[in-house]
Amino acid sequence: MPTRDVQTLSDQELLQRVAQGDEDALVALYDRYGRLVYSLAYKILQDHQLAEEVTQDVFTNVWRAAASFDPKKSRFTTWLTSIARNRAIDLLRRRRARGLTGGRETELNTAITRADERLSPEHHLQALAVREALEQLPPAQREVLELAYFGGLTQREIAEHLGIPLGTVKTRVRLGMLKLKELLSPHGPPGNGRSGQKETNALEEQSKVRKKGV
Amino acid sequence: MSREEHDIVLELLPAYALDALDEEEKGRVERHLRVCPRCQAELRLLKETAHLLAYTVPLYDPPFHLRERIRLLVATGRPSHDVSPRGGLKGVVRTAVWARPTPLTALVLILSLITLGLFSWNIHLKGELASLRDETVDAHELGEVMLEYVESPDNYELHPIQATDASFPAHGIILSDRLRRRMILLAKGLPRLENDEAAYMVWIQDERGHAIPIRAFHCDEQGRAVLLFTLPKEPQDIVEIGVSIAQGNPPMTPVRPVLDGKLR
Repeated sequence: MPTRDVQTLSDQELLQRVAQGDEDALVALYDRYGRLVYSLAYKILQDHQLAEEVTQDVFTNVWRAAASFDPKKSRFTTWLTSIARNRAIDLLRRRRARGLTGGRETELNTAITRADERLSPEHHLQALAVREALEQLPPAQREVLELAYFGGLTQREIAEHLGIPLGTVKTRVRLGMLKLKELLSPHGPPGNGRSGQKETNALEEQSKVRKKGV
Repeated sequence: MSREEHDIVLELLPAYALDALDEEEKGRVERHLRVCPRCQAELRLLKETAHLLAYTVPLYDPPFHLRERIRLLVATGRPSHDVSPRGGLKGVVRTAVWARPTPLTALVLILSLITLGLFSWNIHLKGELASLRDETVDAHELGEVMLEYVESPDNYELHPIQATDASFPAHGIILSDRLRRRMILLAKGLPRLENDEAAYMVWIQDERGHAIPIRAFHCDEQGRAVLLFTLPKEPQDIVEIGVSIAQGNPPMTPVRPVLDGKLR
């Protein structure tokens, strides 16, 4: 096996090495994404101890499952964040069932924080692009996406939580996700800035009209 | 596969990618996905979009010891001599049998120590160990565990830990949450750190003899410490627990054991 410095390897190359039992490669992935995984878990659980537990589980899971990862089916970061999110949400739901959850942040972070200065350039650009795209969504759509992704709520639970009709939640989730996908696609959106928000608002209105008509 | 079913599932996919569907709808989507490559491709894009939300979270640094602990955990079959306390936990563990505390005396001891701990919350940290600031016990979390212990004592186990050397009066207790892999360490009488000693370090030893560092910490001026931590393994897989004084930054080099106890 070539002895290139692991820090210079791509995620996929590192994962291949992890699959062959290379602990240094796993640690290199941890150095690259440990903070993201830990912060995501903390955002969901609002508990540093549990975030630590999730982060540990995620990377030991990567160690065990590296050989089964298929880059044709998913990007590595999508796979990693989905493991982290799913594990954290499982814990959150168990704690919720036991009445143990406390207060939770309800706003998506669209501000650039000082901690971002420590991000890799790629991660920094990704974070900027996602935040910029989110700012183009109507707040009501951002809210339901946040409650689903970070709060682990189903659409029905979101409707109960917000006291709005289930159909409205479904529309917001669908339009919010489709707009976000469009804005973050490699080909870019047809418009940007305020025009993007207007388009999304118009789409939501059209959808309401269509639903009423059905 | 009907066109109508395809259109319905296509509308459900964004919520499915967010894991926001009820079980019935989820089942419907999954049945359709098995036979629809177009929806599979759309789902992949939607999932990538959904998980990009992770990039919006405010960032926090994980505890410094987590990196090394993960490395040790994956080093299956490989002895961790490089980071174990001198000679491993075996050899430094006393075999004296402690009388098992009754729930009442244990509770009184724990509450007393917690009270002391609450007053000495602002632990003195050395400047070069500023990264240890996150190790301060969260009073709310600690209180939550204690309340659970009082309400459901069957889910917890109490284990005494004692000094490895009669020259200092250290002793304490471990409260183990069997369901959630958490432990509370309450200790007093810890010896003072010498000049070249950086911090105390909690270690566990599994049944294969691997010693795994858990968390570094400091005590107050009276040698008292209260620590809440998550175990990397199930409590039943842990044989022994110990506290060593460690050197280095991060403090990963054990120089002398101070407390130990058997968990089985």
